[in-house]
Amino acid sequence: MRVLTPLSAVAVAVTLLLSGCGESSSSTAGSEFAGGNGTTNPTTPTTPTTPTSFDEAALVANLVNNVLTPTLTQFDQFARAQQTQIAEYCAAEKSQSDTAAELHDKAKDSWRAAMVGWQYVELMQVGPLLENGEALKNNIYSWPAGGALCSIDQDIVYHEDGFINGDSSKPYDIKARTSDRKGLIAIEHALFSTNYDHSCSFANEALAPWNSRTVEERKVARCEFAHTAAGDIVVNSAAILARWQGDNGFANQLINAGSSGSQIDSAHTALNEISKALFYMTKELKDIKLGEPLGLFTNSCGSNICPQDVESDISEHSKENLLANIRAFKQIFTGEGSSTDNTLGFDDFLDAEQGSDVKQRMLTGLAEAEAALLAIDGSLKQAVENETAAVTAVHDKVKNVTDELKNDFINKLALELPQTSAGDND
Amino acid sequence: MTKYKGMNKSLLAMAVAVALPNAYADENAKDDIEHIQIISHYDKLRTEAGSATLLTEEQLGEYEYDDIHRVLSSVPGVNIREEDGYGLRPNIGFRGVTPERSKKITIMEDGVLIGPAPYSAPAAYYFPQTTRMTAVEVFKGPAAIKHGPQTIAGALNLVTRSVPEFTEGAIDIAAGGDGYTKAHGYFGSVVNNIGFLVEAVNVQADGFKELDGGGDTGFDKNDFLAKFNYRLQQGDIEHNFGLKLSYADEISDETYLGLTEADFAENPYRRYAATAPAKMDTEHQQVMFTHSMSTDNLSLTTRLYRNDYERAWLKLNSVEGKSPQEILLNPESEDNQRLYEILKGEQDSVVPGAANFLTMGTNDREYYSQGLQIDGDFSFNLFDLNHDLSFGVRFHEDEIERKHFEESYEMKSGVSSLVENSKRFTTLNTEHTEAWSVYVEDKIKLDALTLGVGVRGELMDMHYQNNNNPNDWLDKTTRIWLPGVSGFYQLSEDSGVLFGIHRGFSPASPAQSSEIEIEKSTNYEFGGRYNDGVTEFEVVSFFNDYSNLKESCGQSNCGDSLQQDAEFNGGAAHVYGLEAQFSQRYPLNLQLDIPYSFVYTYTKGEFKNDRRTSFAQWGEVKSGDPLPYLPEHQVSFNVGLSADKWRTSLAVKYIGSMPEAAGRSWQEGTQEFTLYLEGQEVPSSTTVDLSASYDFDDYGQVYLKVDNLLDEDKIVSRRPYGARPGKPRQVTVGYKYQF
Repeated sequence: MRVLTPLSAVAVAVTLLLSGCGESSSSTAGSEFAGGNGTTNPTTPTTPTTPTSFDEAALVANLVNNVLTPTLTQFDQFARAQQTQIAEYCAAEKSQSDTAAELHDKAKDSWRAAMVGWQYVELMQVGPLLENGEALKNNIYSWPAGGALCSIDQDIVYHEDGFINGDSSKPYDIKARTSDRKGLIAIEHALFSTNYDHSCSFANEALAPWNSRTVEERKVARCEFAHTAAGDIVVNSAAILARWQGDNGFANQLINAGSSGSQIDSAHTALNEISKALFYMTKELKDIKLGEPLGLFTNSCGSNICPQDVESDISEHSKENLLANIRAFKQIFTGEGSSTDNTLGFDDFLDAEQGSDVKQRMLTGLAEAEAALLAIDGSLKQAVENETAAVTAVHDKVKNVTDELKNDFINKLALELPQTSAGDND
Repeated sequence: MTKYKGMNKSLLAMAVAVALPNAYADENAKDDIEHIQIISHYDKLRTEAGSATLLTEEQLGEYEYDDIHRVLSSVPGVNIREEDGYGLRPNIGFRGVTPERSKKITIMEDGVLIGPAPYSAPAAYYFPQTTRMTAVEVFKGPAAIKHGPQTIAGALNLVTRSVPEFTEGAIDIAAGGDGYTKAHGYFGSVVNNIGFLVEAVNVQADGFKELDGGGDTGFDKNDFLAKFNYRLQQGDIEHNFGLKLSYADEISDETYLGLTEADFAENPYRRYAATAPAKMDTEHQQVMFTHSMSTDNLSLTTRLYRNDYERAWLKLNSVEGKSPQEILLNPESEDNQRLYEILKGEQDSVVPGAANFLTMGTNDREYYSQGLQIDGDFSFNLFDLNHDLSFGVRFHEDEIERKHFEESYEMKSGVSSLVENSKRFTTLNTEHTEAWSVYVEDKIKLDALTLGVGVRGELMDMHYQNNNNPNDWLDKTTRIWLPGVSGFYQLSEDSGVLFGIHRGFSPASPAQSSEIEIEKSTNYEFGGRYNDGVTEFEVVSFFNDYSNLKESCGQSNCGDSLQQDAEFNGGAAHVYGLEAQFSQRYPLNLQLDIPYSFVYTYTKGEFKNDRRTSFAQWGEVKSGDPLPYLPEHQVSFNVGLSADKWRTSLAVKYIGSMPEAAGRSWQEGTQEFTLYLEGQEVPSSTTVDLSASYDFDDYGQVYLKVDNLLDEDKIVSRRPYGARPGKPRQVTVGYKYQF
């Protein structure tokens, strides 16, 4: 017994400890602690600390009905017009008609219109545009990832041959082609490039005869490829609309957020989805479209001024693209879309959350950015080289907006900072 | 001139000792002057519960290994993931814990924590140079409870050379294939009652990989050690004061980029052009004061230590935002083909219409680790029972400061060069821990039963700070008690059975919220031992029951820089297995003995719940899915043959195949997760190492060793990025002279 008594006491203590009573943990965190993921910027809290009285559902409904849906349907119309216009040009080019040059210009105009339409969509990437690794979006426009001219030149030949690199077991099917070889980027090269040689350092078997062919033949091959690519855009645009519209479409999911028919749990979550799309202005617009050509980041020229790195450099359409982006941002921010009857936007939400000063700074920033852009004569590509200060001014004005967006805008409205913006380059 | 004490032993005896890696071990060495070695030699049945393994200086000298992976290959219950072939940054696990950067085991040098920041960032990017160690000790099961903070798997103690009692010294030089050289020397003596030891090692190699465009792929490591001690006798009490200073540096041309399967099949030792700028640059310093005192029934050792470590590793992170793993898994896809050719230097980064730069990241980190620890041992009688009480208290503080940045490199005509002014910081943060730990363990002798009852306590105050945002911080306090019970019942003079149960714990990093469940397990072991002085046999089964298995991301195991330092919960999991070892010597004739030993480990690890994770080695796991990088079967066989002046030894190691990933990819709404390497396995491999030596008496000893005799060249891992080989056959010739 003398032995067993102390041993029993020990055994009881050990049992208690093994059963888990010997453990505790507590912590206090900073206001922007976000799980300690080690990145340089935190994400912010997603739930408002006090419930808002603002009608977030009404804001979502107006943005969907008045801005997002009209933007997608408008692009769809531009895409169809582009396909028609390119078909007409191809027919003229094949028959070597006198009207070929004029129709070529019209085809290029149709691409410009489609591109402007798409640049509005770029600012509105929600729902079906993000699904499956942004597959539908990339099929239409794979910038900034896609666009290697060699790949497009290869596909122009594969398209013409009907096979991939002469392999009869691999018929050419544009649906199966990777996004960097088709879409608006590929059409731009096919319609606008005036260098008719291919851009590959090593020509594969299929591409080998290309440079020795007549310019006329190559124009036709490029045009026909552009026509097929334009058809593929129409298909993908229709697929986006199919997922967007209808009773179970994403538009209704957003509008009915919080109700039993929607997978989105609240109007606030729906607003988060839309506001995340605005962050396109931070990375893509400010850093890639402006910062990289200005040499603020690594670019094709090292880190120097680099005019060829502007978006849509072959068509020299980058200024128009930027203008469309800024105007699209403004549409979402102000809620001023296709109908002037309802203009409920984030600006009104800011007013309701004592953020009128933030609203004003953002509106001022948007107006100044647009004005600075319009002040540039000629194309952005030329301006980067000859009027660097003017392009820098646009960058600075855009930054004024994005600084507000990342900080006071999301804080006032208790919205999320997207993960992709957490490690940006400011 | 004094003969080196190890050399005074007969070579035959040495060979026997070598072939019996675990035979003679007992904890709590009381004859060790510096108290840096925990297990002592013992020549009969060990009556400790729990697994404790000692690899002696003779055993370490047998194969002259510089690679801790090879050193541990004859220890049962060790699971390893090879990476660079030289073991520069080891991946060691015990009993099925993840081997990644050895972060789930407690690593010590001379009895103190040696990892860069064992609490705040346990990944062991610093690992002591194995060549200069005179013993390696491995503790598993309840034996690990005295050596926290990691107590699920166990502890590894590396023992440096002691200050000699008389004048002695040695040199050891060696040269081998792929530009391998080793120069190692030490000298120690006692002057006016003050003993000293100085030791220096340089190990370097040009590397066995063949870089596209040429260049080194090896390493250059230096280690310096100085020790001083002073002994004082006060009545019955003997005091020993010690000072240890050490410095180590390393520059290695190491990369995380491996090869595609096709390129590996063609030449496993190729390295792509994009890896040419890769470089690891490290520096480590240690200062330690030690005081130990002992009487007949009490010994106390106090250690005050400080470690500083800096490292900066420049290596490829991505190409145009795309993970190299993704590119190497599908190199021929149209999306990846150009990027793959850029990696190989076959395409330039900038071509008409496209600019794809290499993103090279430098994970620049500074660490310190310091503390005061007191360990004691007290023997007494109570209730007519013999008690042996071990106890200890430690205050430890460590910190990691991350200053990670990325730069762009441009591939042009096969050469990758820095794009000026492209530096951008990615991670700037600090994690800090102050920890109190205590343990007490009483070993009570009850006739044939030796019962050990102990408990370990850890109290940790942790702080995380994002250095780029003053409002992103976390303060956390965690307290945990980890009890353990162990026993050994002696059946006869030569045999006995053992059992143990203890609580295991692995601290979460300071950046993890206290609401996230910590990693805990209840560990059981049961086994038996036989040792009659000639034959030793031990079988131990174990079962580790995890309530929550945790993992964390580093670039080495996740490959995704966005996920770095993120932690993941795997939920309930079981790991169980069997460790068996058998050793004997076979007398061939009066002059020749053949000592040989077998070691076999069976380990099975599996998830016991279904869950979706974003961890790069798990994905969506289901109950029954295996844990990655855990081979079910491992076997090693060692055999020696020795005579008066010469000896040879052969070590054969078989490692069964192991999965590269546990679960599967998943998709939910707009969220999707691709589990790279899903369903892939590291193939089984057999490695044979050979060593031989000839003794010229007063003129030293010549040795020859062949690592990987059969030139096994299978894939050892497909992480961090792509397929990687182990070290090819390497022949080394060396000369040792001791005085």
